[in-house]
Amino acid sequence: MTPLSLKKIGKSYDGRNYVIRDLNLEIRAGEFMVFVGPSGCGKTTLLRMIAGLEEISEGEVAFGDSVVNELDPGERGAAMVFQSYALYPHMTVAENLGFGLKMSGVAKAERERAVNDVAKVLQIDHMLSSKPKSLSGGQRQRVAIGRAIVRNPKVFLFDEPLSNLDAALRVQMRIELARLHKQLGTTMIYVTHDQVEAMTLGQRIAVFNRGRIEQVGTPLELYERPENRFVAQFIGSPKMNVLAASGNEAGRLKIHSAGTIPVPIAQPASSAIAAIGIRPEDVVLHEAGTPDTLAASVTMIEHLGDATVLYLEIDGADQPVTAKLHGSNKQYSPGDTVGLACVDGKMHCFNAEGAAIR
Amino acid sequence: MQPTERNRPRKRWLSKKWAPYVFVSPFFILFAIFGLFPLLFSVYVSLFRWDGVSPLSQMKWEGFGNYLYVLELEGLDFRTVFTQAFWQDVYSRDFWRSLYNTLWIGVVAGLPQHLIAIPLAVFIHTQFRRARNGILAIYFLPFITQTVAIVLVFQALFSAKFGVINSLLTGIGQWEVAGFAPFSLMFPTEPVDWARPQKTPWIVAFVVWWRYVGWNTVLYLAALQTIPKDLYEAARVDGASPWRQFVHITLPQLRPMIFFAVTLTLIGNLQLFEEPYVLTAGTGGIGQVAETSAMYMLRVAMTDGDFGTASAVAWLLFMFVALLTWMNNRVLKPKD
Repeated sequence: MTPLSLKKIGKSYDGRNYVIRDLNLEIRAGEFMVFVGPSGCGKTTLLRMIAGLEEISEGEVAFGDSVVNELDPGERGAAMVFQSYALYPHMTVAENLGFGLKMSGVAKAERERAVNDVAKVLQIDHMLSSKPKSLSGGQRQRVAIGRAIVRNPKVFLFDEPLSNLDAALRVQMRIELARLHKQLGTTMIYVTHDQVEAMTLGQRIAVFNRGRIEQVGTPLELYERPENRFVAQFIGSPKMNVLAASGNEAGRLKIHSAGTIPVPIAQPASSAIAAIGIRPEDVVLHEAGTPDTLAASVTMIEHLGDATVLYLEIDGADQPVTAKLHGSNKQYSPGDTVGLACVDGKMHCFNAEGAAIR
Repeated sequence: MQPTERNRPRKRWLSKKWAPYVFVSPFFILFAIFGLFPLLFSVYVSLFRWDGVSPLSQMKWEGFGNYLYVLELEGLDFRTVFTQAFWQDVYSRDFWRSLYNTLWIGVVAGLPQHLIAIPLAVFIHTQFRRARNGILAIYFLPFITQTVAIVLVFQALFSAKFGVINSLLTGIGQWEVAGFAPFSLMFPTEPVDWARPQKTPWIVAFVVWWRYVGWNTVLYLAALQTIPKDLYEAARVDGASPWRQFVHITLPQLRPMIFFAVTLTLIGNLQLFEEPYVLTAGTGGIGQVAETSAMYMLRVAMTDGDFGTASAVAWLLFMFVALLTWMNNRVLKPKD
């Protein structure tokens, strides 16, 4: 079990424009760390820098106590699972699994034993002599994971490994990956743009945006106490409703022209509030005109079975507000007017820069 | 209402049933005249004695006589097949000598083409980004240059008295430090007579190699560009050195192209004609040391005026090419 430490990491291809700048992160030994963020946020670049596939322009990457900046990928003791699997098409499954061991000069008998062991764990032992071409997507995924496991690496790196699988298989592989992590106890870093994967797999999640880490924390921390608007809106589905707030006169906030609500947090921090955030699942709907609610009208309804998603229009806001209602016994239809409020203590407040205020 | 010119039904000169056949017929007509007919006619001619000029009525039936004449097997003592004398005897027979020359030049010119083109393509692929096409064009240039122009340049280079090659070699050979010429053992001190028969096949092979190495480089470069980058990345993470990446990723991935390129070289070199013909001014060199089978065929047809035998040579050569291609197929063709 190896901890990783990333210190003042910077990445630039031309020396002027940085895709990653001044990034610091400590990954604990045996931790399942997920890098999540929108496309082009630098999460894959960082993973590739850890793997050694991308040069580190600035800063230090250390595995345990040893700085690995100058080491070749093969010398770092990291194994990587690629998005495309990157299986060697001309080699059999067994040869694919054993390639890394062969490169590090492990004797044939020992190699075969290791390959067989891993194949058994991943239930691919019956296809050892097939070529990757004849395997299904899920099977290829297993071989790619097996190729990483067989070398007994210090760190596993996953680069969006499930994005080429269909939804059902993705759920299944997600569970298997979580089980695998429990079984092996190895440090794992997992890159994804899918927040569901991030929330279900990660012990801690680092949310990336434009080459910076916005917040690092456990899934629940990120969900319940996002540090800024970006994290608040990135984590959670449907995403958090953010409404511009103004006024703050006599302890009340004016939300567009839809009404006023009491300031949800204690003074004096409240004076900086520029926006409020309400998660769709925290929205409460009252009769229209109820005090301390916002006037809204239902525009669209989606029935998901276990829940109902309502899209509401509130006066003066250009974005619709989403409400996710569980087991509500009241039926709504488009055009209904309601009073919108938030579950007590669940409202998030942000200042003009987007940072959370508590 | 009177039917106007426009909406009166057009008269068909071609029925709907026959139109498709008529439209595709030009290819078949041309192919039949210029492809199929000469092919079949050469089979026919190879069974007759005919000088190519006389009326067809004067063709004389030979059966497989032309083939036997070309193969010239009578008088060969097969009990002595393991002696040098036997093979010297074989070499003295025109067809076999031309076949030997063809094979020799084919291997000496062909093998290094691939042994150089593959690493060269990898080098260009990995080391150049923007300059790649320019550099490739330089290597490709000999391929699109007129054979005659190439040969004139090489004749000037290899000229015994005034050639650049000789002045370079003798320059190194004669170079002296304090009255001692350190390179005189490895390099000639006197101009080399490149026209000597022992050297002729080497020069032909060199020109052929020089001419086609760029072509093969282009083929391999195209194939290299289709190898996914992440295979190399996976191999690097697996700890493979650049050399092992070449051996374990590049070469196996290039295999289909190697098969294709070697097949082209094989077929091309067995039909080799232009370079040796122009370099030896059509003679095949002293003692016909560089006369290829294609040149021999031309000599039989044009000089000897024996189109029947020449056709037999062509068909024997075809069978030989087919045999070698089949063998290449067995050895290099990608499995599954």
